[in-house]
Amino acid sequence: MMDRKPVEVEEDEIDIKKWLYNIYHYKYIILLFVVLFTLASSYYAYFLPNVYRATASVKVGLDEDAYAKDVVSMAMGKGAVNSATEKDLIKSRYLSELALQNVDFRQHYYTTINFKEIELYKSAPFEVNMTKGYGISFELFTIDHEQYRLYVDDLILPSGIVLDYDQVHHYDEEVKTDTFTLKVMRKEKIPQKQYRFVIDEKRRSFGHVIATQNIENSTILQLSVEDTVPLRAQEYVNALAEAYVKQNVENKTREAVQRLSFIENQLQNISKSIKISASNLEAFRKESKIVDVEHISETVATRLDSYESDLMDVLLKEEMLNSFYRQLKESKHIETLSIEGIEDKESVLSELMQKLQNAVVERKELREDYTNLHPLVMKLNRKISQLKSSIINSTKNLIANNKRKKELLIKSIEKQRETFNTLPENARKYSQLERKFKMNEELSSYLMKRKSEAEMIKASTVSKNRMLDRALLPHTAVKPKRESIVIIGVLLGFVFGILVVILIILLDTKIKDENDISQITSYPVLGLIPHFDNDEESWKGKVKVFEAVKSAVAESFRHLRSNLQFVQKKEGSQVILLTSTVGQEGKTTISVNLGAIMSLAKKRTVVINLDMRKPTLHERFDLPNQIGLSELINGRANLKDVIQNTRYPYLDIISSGAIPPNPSELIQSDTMYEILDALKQEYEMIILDTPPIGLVTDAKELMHYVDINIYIVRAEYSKKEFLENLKKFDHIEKIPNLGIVLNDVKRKKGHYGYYAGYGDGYYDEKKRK
Amino acid sequence: MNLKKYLPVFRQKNIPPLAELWVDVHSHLLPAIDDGARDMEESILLLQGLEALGYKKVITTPHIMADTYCNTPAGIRASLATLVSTAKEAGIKLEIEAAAEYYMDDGFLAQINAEDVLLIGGEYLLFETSYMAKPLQFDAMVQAILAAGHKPLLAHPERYRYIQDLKTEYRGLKEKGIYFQVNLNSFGGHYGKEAKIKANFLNKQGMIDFLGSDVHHKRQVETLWKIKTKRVYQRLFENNSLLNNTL
Repeated sequence: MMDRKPVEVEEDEIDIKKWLYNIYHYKYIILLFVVLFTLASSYYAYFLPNVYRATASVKVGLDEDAYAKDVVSMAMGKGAVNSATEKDLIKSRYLSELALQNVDFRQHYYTTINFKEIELYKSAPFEVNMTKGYGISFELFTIDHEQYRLYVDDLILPSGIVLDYDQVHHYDEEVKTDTFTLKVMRKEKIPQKQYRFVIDEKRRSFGHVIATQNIENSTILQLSVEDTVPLRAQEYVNALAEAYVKQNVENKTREAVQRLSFIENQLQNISKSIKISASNLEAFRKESKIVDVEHISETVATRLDSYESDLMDVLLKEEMLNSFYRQLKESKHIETLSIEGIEDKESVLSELMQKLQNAVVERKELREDYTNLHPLVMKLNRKISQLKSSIINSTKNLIANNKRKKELLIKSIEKQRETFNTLPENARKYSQLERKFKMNEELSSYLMKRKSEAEMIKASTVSKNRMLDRALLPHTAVKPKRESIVIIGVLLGFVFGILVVILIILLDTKIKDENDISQITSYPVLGLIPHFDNDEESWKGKVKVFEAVKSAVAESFRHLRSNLQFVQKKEGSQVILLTSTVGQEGKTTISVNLGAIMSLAKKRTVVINLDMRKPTLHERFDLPNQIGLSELINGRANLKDVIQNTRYPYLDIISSGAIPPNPSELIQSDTMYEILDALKQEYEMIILDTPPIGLVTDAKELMHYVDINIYIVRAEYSKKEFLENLKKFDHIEKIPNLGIVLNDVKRKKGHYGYYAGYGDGYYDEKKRK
Repeated sequence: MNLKKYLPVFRQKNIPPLAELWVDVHSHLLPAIDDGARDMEESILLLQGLEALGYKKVITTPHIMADTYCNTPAGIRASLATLVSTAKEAGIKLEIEAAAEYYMDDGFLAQINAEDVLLIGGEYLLFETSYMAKPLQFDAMVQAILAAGHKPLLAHPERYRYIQDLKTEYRGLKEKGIYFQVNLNSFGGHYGKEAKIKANFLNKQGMIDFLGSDVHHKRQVETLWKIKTKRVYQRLFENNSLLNNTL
């Protein structure tokens, strides 16, 4: 009747349900992870500093020339601004350095409020002046309004010196040591007990700079700075916006400034010369008492005068040319050089310069879209270098021309001088001096005119950019989003918890319930024995089924008895063999209780201990183990002597007897079968407690002899591989009539539990006793 | 605000039951024969309690269970006779009959194949199984009941913990020709949450054929009063075609 049906499992549905149930079983582990992750994320979110954002806006002016030439930007309309360039400029280190000239963020003051360290910046109640000891973190403990304690804990300085400092000082007193020099100045009443401060040596920027546009192609840029200190964010963004506006003016006036400095330099020299020549003239006049010059000398002098004035021009031009040439050679930015004062009417220089400047501008525009290797850019590069060499060549030519002119003039002057020298000395000398003076004066007024021109250019240049809104002091933090962090923490904890539980389930190799058995094998599950009596000692002298006849345990054995009757193949005495894989799976306990439930049904039963290595059967009935099975097989005792009556009717046992040296041989001997045949005459139920087949295969032969084989598996103890091995064993041995009993099934709660709340009916031994 | 308008809604609960249960088919009232009434005094007390609940007839069903409650039809009838006469003396007007609750164990086949079998209403054989595991021979035993010409009536199907897939398993039992007797107290959670869920499922599916009190002791009579005032009690009559009052 023990037919082995193919296992029919509705894979999908049952699997999902089973998984969900198994996961639910570990709900406290999941809860633990959720709680842990929530705590961790809350902790993290709490200590994450507040970030404030200050925003200023600037209007970006348009470069008229640039857009006029650019068809694309014209097509985009007048408002088009190359926003990427401006945004990059705002974020550049260059602009940051410009801004930092106006703000000083070197001082850092901290205090701890609600376990959280916050930076105070200007709201700190004291200020520190430092000349030495930058970068060291000092702790300041307030004592009273006069004194404070300065403390540095074992700090290793970059120089290798260990700084350990703890001294009381007065406010406004200069503290001077080898490693630092500072002065703490109290600004107001100091509310907190403890502060910390660090002073940086160099100015550096703080916060994260963001530049955005509200609408694409808008000429208004929003400058934002995100910082943990709201005031510092505000100050820095304003400084940045100002620097942004200012740098544009500076670029534009650079040319005028350069020219102005050159003219001023020249003017200085000239005014010196004027002074000297004026005083020379005066002295001479006093000394020689000359009031007028002779008429003859006048024409010569006038001619000489004009020659020398020409020479002066030539010399000035030479100097300017040389200076231009030098700059030409040195400077990279040729396009910004001034050709003021050196250009000739017939010279092509100004035209070349114009071309070069155009070329450079064009290249700049192209470079925004293409790399250096783009053919257009390369073509332009070639053009630029050609233009450059043309300019250098024509400058060279100009210099050479000028030199020839100078030589010619010097020759003419010398000729005139020779004529002049023939004039009376005094008159000649006087007119010489007078001429020099006049010449200097003329030059000076020329330069003055140019100077004021340059100054006008400089002064009249305005920035194409302008400030729209200055930043306001931010009051609420934009970051961090603490709620989101905590929510993410909760979700992560949940996901992580489920992953861990899935891992636990996957790594669990133990058999848990009937479903585990039916998934591995198709052997019938003859019984499920609930968990009882943890303590091994308490088993001694006690049989649970007799102790609690109406208990769930007794009821489970009754069920086993019914099932055994169902699977028996023939009428008459039944020999039932119990075995397991290893020890501790409950073989003896089940043998004894099965015997008990059989005897309660008034079936003459004998339980025989074949596990001679581990003789414990007799202990359950408080009986001796003087002689038993081993003596019987050896022929040293006869059957009547070894059968021990228990104090229960219908139940007898045969204990193992003395441990023999060869237990395997004894069990496998022919005598064993003779004994069993003899016992069948006397008893209806013969229960054999045999050694675990996972350890020794003593009972292998007997398994073919007996009527029913029961294989015991203990829940949460026996491994799934035990059943796999049993299948292999059965495949080779072809064990007849094999069934499984699952022992030690724990009470489980929930929908799938077998024993949840069991006993609220009438089988509970406690309620009705 | 017109509260009166809403009053009928609140008063609905107090409306007396539209349908009444006259016959009870499952109880353990015979004195000292199983785990029900311990003595005659308790038996009378329980009978009075059931009469007060409005029952007109009780068919009491003592356990028949190998090695635990080894009752025989003859013994049960003898005990019934004593109870009936004592009840009459005590002024109880209830009609009292006896059948048995057979336990599906190794003695079951012998019991139902015996000449004298105790049946409810002369045709229904009330039986139960282990709560934790379905007997291997369950199907064969049900076949045997049918073969003997009886109608198998499964006692409290909501209490068996081995039933996990409610829809499939209950439907499977029904298809085998098994009638269901559900305990009224299951709807109040007397046998636990799981039994309540299963009982409500059976009610919703209209699978219930008989309702039983399964009274063992006084407390169960008291809890029956609570069930009668619940809305689910009315639903039982609406959803199921109950056979109790046909007996």
